[in-house]
Amino acid sequence: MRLLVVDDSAVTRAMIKRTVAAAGLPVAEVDEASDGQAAIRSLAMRGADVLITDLNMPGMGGVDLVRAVRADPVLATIAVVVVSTDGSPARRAMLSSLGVAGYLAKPFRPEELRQVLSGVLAGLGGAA
Amino acid sequence: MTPAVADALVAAVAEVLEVAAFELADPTDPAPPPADAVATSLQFHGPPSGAVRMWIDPAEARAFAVATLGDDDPAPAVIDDAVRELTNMIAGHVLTRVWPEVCIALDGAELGAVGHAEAYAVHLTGEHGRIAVGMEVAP
Repeated sequence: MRLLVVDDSAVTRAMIKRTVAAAGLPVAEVDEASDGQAAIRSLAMRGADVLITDLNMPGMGGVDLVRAVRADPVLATIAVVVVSTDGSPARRAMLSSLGVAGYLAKPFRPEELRQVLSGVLAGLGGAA
Repeated sequence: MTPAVADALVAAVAEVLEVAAFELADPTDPAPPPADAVATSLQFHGPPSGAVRMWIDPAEARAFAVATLGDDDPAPAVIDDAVRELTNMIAGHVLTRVWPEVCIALDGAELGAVGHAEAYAVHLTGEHGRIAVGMEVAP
């Protein structure tokens, strides 16, 4: 499985990568991008099975990124997990309508990220 | 700032530090920032719209970066990034709990100068230093 982590904070990207590495999940590679546009370029070049994205980023934010992925016939089936400071029920409902598979509010405990990713990977057919 | 927002800020700082950095923090009386305090501000847009402001002791900022990244010697730019993200997490935590029924957009936190003392109504002491935060809501 290949993951793409999208967050304008290098610290958060490192935290997520560190948690994924320690969780024992069947993830072969983790790519990084700092905003939605960079994520689209990365997906076009390298693809991904799971997209983990923040919402509030300069340039193209997470909501526009998810919409762009869902509108692209090649990328539309990528599973999306949102990791954001915005955990309001209103925001979660809006993301659910976009087909987001998992949601995690920052800050998160490592086991919480592992649980969300395990569920998503299991749905993709990966042993988690 | 209403008592409910102040209480939410205290809870936000304490929970973010505990979850992200495995650190306990307790409310304390206000005090002036040290000369080398790291200060941030973050604008949010709803309604409601407003700003969250924070300053943090450099030792506490460094400890937060070390704990979150597992890097014993983070570069200054990494510490700054960690402090911006700390501000984001505190702001998101508070806004989600005080106004759960609306979608509020957050700008990225920016480093800057410490503002007036009145802008930082809530003070906590962590294991390595002090954090002060406040929130302004546009009328």
